[in-house]
Amino acid sequence: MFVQKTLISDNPDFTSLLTVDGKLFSLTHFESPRPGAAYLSELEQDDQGKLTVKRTKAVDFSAHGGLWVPCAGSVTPWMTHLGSEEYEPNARGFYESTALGKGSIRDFMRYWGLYEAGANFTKEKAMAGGFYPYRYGYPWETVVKSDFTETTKKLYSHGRQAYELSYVMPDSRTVYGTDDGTNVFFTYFKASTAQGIHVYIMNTFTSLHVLSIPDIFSSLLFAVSFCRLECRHQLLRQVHPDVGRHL
Amino acid sequence: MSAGINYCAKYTQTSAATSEAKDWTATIEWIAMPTATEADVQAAIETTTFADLFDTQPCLSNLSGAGAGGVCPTDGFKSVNTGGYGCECLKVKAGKEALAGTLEKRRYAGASYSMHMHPIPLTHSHTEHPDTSAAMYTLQWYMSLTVHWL
Repeated sequence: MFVQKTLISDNPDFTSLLTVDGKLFSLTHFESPRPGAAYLSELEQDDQGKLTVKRTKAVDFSAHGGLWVPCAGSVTPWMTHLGSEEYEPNARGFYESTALGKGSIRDFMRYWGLYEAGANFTKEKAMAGGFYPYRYGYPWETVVKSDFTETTKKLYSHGRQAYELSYVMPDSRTVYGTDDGTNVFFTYFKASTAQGIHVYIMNTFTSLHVLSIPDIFSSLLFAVSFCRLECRHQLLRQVHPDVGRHL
Repeated sequence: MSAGINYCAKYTQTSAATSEAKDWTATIEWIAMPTATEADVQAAIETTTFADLFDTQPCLSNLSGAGAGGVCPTDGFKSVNTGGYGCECLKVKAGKEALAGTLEKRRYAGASYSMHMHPIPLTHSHTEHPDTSAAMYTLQWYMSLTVHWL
């Protein structure tokens, strides 16, 4: 009998294209099977625009108990990957259960190599292995650096729901979250501080070691030169709402 | 992105109760929700169960058919029907509002803000907000959302 030990996903649900310090990266996350997975690739682009994958690696979710069901995603205004986890596990059903049996949580236990066939899979075994339902159902953000390292965090304060995707508005504070299902809701998260132009400028200058330049106008021009046409307007408007009107 | 407040949309229907979905209109009010900090959520993940957040009771009747309502045995419990879990009678435990509003965000919203028993099948597949405020926000993403009011 053929036993397949390698899981293959044909279910990529979102791919981002990220430019970091002049380099091109792409992050793809896979919705199924469970556990979900995400892979980061470094790309090269020739002068005809053709993209080639230079190298690929798995994104590390070990600090967050793995990745549940990543659905759609988006790219933040500050050029990071914003992923999702949908169909959050039903914590009430989990904690009130006597036997979990077949199902998505049992499949997910493969993240720790703890898949257990049969009817004796229980919530106690799931928790002993590391599975807690309140760890899943969040947006997550991956920051990619030009040296091909990445850091990922789940955005726990955004709260658990079936995130189809999260999308950051140009104010870099408002994050709409859509909820996939029947009898669900529509929400947004308002961050207490904005991310965006300030962070973008600081990151750019930190990486280039020219933070000593104090002149904000020079900083702005510098940042704009790094920006494509379509984001220039947005960058300027974030500095002052009137700026964009004169473009 | 890590610290902030969640808001949920409260729809109040302005079209006739029997209107077709294509004619459906509503006003939206955004309601601030109790939101736990990232640190509080992380501290709760392995120590908090559903029963730590909500008291529960069985529903006296289940949702079936237009206008049918879930009824809870005791005042103070709210019947909700969210996320495909069917009728649940829930009461948030005192002092657990922020964690319940974050870990059980949808159930909390249903138990706290739903005002009317009024089934409204509504699907957003494409939403655009062209320049409706000081900032020009355009939302053009795949959005699968069905609102079924309790």
